[in-house]
Amino acid sequence: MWRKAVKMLVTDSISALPGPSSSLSSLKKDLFLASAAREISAYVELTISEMPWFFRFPIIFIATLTGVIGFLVTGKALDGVTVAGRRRVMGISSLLPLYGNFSKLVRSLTLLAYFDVSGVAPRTPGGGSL
Amino acid sequence: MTVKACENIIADPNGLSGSYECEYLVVGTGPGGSVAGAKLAAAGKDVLFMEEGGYHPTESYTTDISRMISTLYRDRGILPFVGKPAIAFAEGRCVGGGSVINGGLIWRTPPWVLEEWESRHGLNGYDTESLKKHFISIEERLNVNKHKIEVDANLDSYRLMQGAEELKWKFVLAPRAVKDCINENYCPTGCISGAKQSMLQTYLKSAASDGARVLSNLRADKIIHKNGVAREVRALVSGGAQGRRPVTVKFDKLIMACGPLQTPHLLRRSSLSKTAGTSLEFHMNLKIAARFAAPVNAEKGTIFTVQVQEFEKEGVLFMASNYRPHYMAMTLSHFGAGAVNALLGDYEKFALYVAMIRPRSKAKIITSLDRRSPLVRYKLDPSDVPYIKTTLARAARLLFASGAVELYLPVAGTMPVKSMKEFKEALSRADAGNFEIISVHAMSSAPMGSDPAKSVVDTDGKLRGFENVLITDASILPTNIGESPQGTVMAFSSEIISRHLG
Repeated sequence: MWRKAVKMLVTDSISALPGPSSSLSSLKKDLFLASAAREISAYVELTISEMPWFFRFPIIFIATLTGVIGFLVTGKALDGVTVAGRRRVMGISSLLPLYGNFSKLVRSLTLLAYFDVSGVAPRTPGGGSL
Repeated sequence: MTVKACENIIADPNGLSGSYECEYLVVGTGPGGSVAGAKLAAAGKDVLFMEEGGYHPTESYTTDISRMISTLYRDRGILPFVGKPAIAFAEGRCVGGGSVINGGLIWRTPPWVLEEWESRHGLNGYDTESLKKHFISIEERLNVNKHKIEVDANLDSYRLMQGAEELKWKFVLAPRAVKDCINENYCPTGCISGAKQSMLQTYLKSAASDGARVLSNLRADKIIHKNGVAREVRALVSGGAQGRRPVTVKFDKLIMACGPLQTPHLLRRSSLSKTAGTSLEFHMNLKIAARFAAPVNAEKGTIFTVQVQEFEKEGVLFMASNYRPHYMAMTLSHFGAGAVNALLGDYEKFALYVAMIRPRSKAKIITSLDRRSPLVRYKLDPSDVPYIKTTLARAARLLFASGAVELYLPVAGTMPVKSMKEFKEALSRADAGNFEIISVHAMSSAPMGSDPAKSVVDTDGKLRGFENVLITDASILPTNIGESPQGTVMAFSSEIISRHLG
């Protein structure tokens, strides 16, 4: 369940960012987002799994609680909730102690990994001049 | 990725046997360990290096930043100092240690710091003149030179220099350990062009050619000792087909250079010291994103080209920082997606700067929770809050004078500011918990000194109570240095080994 909470936050973070190209159709953008969310979630989960236990356990506990809240609020597992449902779950979960740390960690790792997903990184067009 | 190592470097964990013997065991291959081991090997000693991280030479580096951070950093670059606010701390864990993932800055120790260490901590023989020969040798070996600002690169640093000139603030070109740097801007994740002169390319290479052996993927778990003599290190192999398995290394003399967190962690859990790790000091980095009216193409400038030193004696330094969308987006994450989108839309007009400060806050290393990683806990010294605010105000002044039109401050809950007036309003509402702080320099966790009650090692680098244990990493610096510590650590390591060899 904690992995679904991670994926929810990853999806929320990257859905607000521009995709690889504005010329892509909305279907292709959705496919890109789904694929990027999968790839980044795996990275974030692995990072959390390899943290020392005194950081890992509280994070997984909060993530699991977020999943439980999601189920109670929406009646669905977190991977099946709508954008509005996701927002409600995050709003209620933000009242949990340490949720802020959990959210910050996942969002930071997401932003770190997002630009390594093929095709999204902006590049400097050329050198400037003095 | 499996990379073929040179003959004396065992890069594959499957290639490690169950036991080793040597005259000198050096635990850690960062700057402090590499200099010590290379110097001993050059003197004909039988040296064996033990490194927890893997062997990752230049040809294995990629531009995939998240992957490289996972490969080259301890705990994948995520190691918070617990406190208010939590501080994100990062350190290397690979053959070559911090030198593989830092900016390659090699500063001589500021003279007033050495004077303080001499007068207050009894460090005789570590004055500017005595250390000079070590610095000259290190600088020559690492090809240390003042990085130039090219016509088509380093505009972010050039703007900073212009701002300092306008304010009549002192600045210098930074001395860096590079050969033919082409501003690839991947210093923190392994220099892909091989320009940076890390330990892997310099001291470890010469140590290996002088016969030293390097065992990678091997974590020192416990030091076995009796009657004030350390005898063997019990270690664990990480990775490899056979999983975690024990390896024993017997030695005559032990050089500890596991870094400012792991050295006291190992000392404490092996019962070699009770006081190590009780007063860890560290630098705080405050990152500020600046938007300029015209492109600065900061991605085409290497880090730390110019350093503004106007407030150096107060422990405050300003520099351009590494610029990639990953770092920028993380820096702006507390502003929300809108700011990240603004960055992506105006990428070439943004640059990232860092204010590095020498705080009074100290941390403690708690070793009892986990054998692999210590918990680091700190308490923000009340004097650091106005110190941080003053530093940010100076940074804002400097960056506006440099031509920035908008600043994104490392303070949660603030909006981007376009003038000093907006800056003051934004900062007036900030308290300690709002600061976004990172750190990449820790030190003084096993301080050197002449007073046995206040120091963990004596002035010859010997661990108190043990004749055959030397410490040569940043742990031994008596206090927070206020400058990138690699040069100082290397010079101290060289001096300690010189004294040891006599």
